[in-house]
Amino acid sequence: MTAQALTVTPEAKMRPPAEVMRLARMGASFQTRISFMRRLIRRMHRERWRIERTRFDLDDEGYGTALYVVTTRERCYSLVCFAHYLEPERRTDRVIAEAWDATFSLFDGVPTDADIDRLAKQTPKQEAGRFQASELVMSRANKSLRLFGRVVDSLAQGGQPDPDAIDAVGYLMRTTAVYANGKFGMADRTRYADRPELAPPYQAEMLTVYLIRGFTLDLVEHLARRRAPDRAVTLDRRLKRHLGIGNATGLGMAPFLVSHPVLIHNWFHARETALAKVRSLEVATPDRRVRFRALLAQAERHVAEWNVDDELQTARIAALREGLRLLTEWTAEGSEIFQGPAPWDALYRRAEGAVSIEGQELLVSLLLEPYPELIDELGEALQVDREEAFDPSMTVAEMRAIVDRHYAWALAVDFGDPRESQYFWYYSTEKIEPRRGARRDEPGAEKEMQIAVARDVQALRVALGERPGDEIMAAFLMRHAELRHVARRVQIGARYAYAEIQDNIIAASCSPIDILRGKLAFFGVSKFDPKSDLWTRITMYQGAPLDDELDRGDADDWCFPVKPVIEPCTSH
Amino acid sequence: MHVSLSEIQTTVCKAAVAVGLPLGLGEDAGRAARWMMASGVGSLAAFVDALDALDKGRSTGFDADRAIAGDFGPKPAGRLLSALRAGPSACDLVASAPSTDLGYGRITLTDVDVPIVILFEALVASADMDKGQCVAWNAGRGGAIEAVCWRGSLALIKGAPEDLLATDSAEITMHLVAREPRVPAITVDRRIQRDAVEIDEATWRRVTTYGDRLLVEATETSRLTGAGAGVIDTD
Repeated sequence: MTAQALTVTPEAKMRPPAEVMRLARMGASFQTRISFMRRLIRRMHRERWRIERTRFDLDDEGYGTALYVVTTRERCYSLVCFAHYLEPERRTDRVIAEAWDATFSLFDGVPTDADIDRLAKQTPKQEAGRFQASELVMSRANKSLRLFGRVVDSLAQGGQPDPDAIDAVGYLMRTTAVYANGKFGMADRTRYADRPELAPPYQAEMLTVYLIRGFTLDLVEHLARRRAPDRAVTLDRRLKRHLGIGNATGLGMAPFLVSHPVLIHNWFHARETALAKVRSLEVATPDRRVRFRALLAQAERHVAEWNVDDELQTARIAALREGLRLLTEWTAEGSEIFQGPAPWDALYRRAEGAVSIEGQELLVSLLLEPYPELIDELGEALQVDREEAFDPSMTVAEMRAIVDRHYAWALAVDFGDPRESQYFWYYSTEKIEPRRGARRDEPGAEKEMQIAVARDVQALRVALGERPGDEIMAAFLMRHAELRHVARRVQIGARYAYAEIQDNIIAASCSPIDILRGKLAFFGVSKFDPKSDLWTRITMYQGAPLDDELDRGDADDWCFPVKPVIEPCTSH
Repeated sequence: MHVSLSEIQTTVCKAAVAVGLPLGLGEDAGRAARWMMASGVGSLAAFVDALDALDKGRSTGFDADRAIAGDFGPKPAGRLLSALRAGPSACDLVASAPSTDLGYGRITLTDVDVPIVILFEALVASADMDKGQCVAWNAGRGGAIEAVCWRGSLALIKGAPEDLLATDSAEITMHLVAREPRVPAITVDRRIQRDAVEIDEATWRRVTTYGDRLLVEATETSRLTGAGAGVIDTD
């Protein structure tokens, strides 16, 4: 593939924050080439990481300890796995759970037996345990009762599980939390942020989840073998690859996004820059068109297999299918869209007027795929390793101006309407679980998290209006210490265009799963399965190469996983 | 017990909000506590003392009209000046001094409850400045302390690190510094965490107990709003 000529500077094609940072669009996001799982797998492939199972002391019931050692270019990491018996009445996805089928620690290096003994006492306790700087990530997972036993049964009987059942669930286990960055005494991110393999966001967490997936695949085969040593077979490789790891994601991600504005800017800005680069291309060369069409066809199959119970999402998927049909029609060989200038831009603009937001966002993902040489470098600077400075010498007049220029969306919210302050977000006494309550019906609003940016910006603007324009912010904040956090935030927002979710997240109209999906798409997840407007199930690494496939040429070719076709077994 | 730097930062921030400080001041307190612990100088107990002083009403804020002229005194009089309340504004004022009549003149903070807190607030503030902040006080039996915070490094001009922990209240002076000090500095490198930040459990319990005040009691209604299926999951 050859370098591509640009018609205009990509900046001219950037979608504005006022369009991108709205909940409706965030809630329609899809993974892209720069998503964190995709980046990790590419690095594993490029640097030929090696994953070895060095310990697998599991009994006939699958309980015990396993160890997976990952050798990267410069150092090793190890996943220490503990599989436990879980009493049925204690089985829950909720953060408030206190026991799990399996618990995990990602260890920095290779643990000694003493380390494993220590972790055997701490890791199963999860939030109640205490960890050291040698531990980077902690996680836990529960079996999917719909699928796990069924897969073991099939393998033990010498057959393969039904691909439809595999596809319907998509994973053997669901993680219910993945903790890092200094939680519970683990290593701070600053400890490993200068390591190339872990510098981009969430790479330690994504590595952990990838290794957990491998453990779940080994676990079902182990159980089948122990149950029927003479008859059991291994799981078909194609089915293995179609199994990812599930997750139930709730409200915790929403306050995270609000409290990390620069990080969020970096993610969205990178994606938008990527899209703008592709839209700026003068021509779509035949090889890229072929690649695009192949991926579009795969995406159509992927979406055809995406079925959920949620009525709203079901309707959106139906609209998405229709949108993909239109995209296929418009981009057929010989289509007039490729005869004119900047064909990808023309395609995007046509989609804007004709397909759903979800269809537009899937198109964004598809447009980036054929251009790794333009896109992948953008994923190199998504992290934030320094805090933003506050400028106390800025004048009140300057501050007013940046509020008015960058926070018009916040100033437009009518807080006289009680629906605009319908909810409050808070941490519960139950394991500090983030929750959302109805302000006028539930207790605790006086302890709400201070994440209502629109409301705070309005308060700041009112107070700024009451002070002389030449007063510096240092003096202003002596009188208004209660506005210090939002003054700092507004200065950040003025520097980083994509730093803010441009909606009022305490409003009755706010659907938290839109926030969650916006973030999860950057992780690289698929098969969003909303269970309410507060939480969603998802699948991670479905279709990703297995640990012994990382050196294959198609290691990055898993963005829209589809159900494998397996010949029916006639003997079982 | 081993505690990470990010735990220190978030826990001190929450505790500060729990004792009634605005979020912005809590964020500054959390950062300063993190830098203190990363530096290997100081003790988290200093921050807990500062939180206690506010919570028990021994310490208070300041008169903004006087503070703008560089004179931070406790208001109402008769109490101590809270380092957690006054520190960020004092640092702002020093940092923006060239834009004011203050220039390189000194500002004074009277009867500061826990002086070392101000020092680490100034250290954080200095990280992104092209000048330094000098912080000085008399630490009672420990004698005079004078330190320059220069782009995230701490140079102790007078006094020894152990003197910083003197618990007496003191009058602090601060001023802008134009040149890098020639004294060896204690560097707080944000990229490097010492392997072990050990804190005694009693101190940690004191600070986390404050943060727990921000938690909302669970109800049946609230229990339904977390992620995950019902209480028992058979999916």
